[in-house]
Amino acid sequence: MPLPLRTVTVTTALCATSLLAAPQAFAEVEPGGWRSVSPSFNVQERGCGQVDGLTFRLTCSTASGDQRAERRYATYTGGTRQFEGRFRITSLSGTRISLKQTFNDSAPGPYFMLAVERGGRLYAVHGGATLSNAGTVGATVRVNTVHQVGVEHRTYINGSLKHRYASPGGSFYDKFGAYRTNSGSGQATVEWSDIRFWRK
Amino acid sequence: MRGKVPIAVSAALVLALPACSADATDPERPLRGVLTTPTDIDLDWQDTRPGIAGHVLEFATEESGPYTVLRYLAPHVTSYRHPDLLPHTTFHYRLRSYRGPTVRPARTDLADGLRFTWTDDSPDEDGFLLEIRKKDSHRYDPVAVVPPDTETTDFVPLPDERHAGYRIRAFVLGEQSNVVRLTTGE
Repeated sequence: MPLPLRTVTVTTALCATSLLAAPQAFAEVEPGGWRSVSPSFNVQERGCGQVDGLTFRLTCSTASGDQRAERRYATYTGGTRQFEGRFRITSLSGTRISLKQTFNDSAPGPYFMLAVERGGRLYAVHGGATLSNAGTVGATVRVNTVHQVGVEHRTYINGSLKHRYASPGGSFYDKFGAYRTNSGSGQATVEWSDIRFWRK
Repeated sequence: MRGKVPIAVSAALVLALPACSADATDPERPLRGVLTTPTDIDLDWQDTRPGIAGHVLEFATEESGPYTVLRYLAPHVTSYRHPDLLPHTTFHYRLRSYRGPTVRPARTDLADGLRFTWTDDSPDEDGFLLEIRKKDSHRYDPVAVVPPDTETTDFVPLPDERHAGYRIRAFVLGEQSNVVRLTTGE
């Protein structure tokens, strides 16, 4: 256990924080100026994709074709956007299923895709970087993305910065749900919750 | 087999206590934290009660939640670093203990993983934990959480986990600890 000196230091830090840090009105991340927004969305069901509220299912194990169950949010251009949501994979007999996309409407194509492999590895489809191994079946994972259009796209998993990616300018939109990537296959069921957006 | 988790009255009392305490080893306030760098938070705790099988560490960025599980931790683990955090954000942490028996599951090797099956004879579990004991280790650590009323799970092991030992724990969550609140900088 910590030495007595550290014990004193820790106690002081806790007290100072408790007294001085007022609870934030919003849970948005990164420095201020954020405004809560509620972009519109439409539901996309393709192939064997099924959407029921915030539950997204790919019911087939096919490794080809357009298999998607997603929400597609309104396009944005410029500024900085933040997405927050929590997902829980409740079944995954397939692999390489995209969970969250930031789509480049100008290119067009998926610009950033957060996907999961069977076993729980969360990775960036473009580049293949591992973000976390937290995506196991049954575990709830929180995702924040901060997109400074024309500058950078940052992804936080469970509060920790896990991915940075240079961003071009243009028009983008957010998607989340369950989507078979080019190298992936179903089946999968993903439950999302606590979805929020901000802009500044 | 289980609905809502009962929370002991004492847990609510613990949460209602003020955040400052002169005694950092207060058993009523086992969870402590410090902002080690502007974006790294170190947490540690003490829990010497008998029968504790591990702890669940959770975080939120609003006082009222929702809380997200950071990790299920074996009882020998008493600290955790939450790294590279969202800047200028207040983090709230709490700890919950869990208890429960373990069983040795039947194991089937799959082409790309392992399948474990067991009998759910626990009347009130909050879930099951798949725990691993790696080769040359004497300790088990949780590697996957499985919903209640489940009797099978598939697991994709890392290369050094395929020949490890595994067991299943039916766990029941206990009281919540005090809440530690820290604000990141940068």
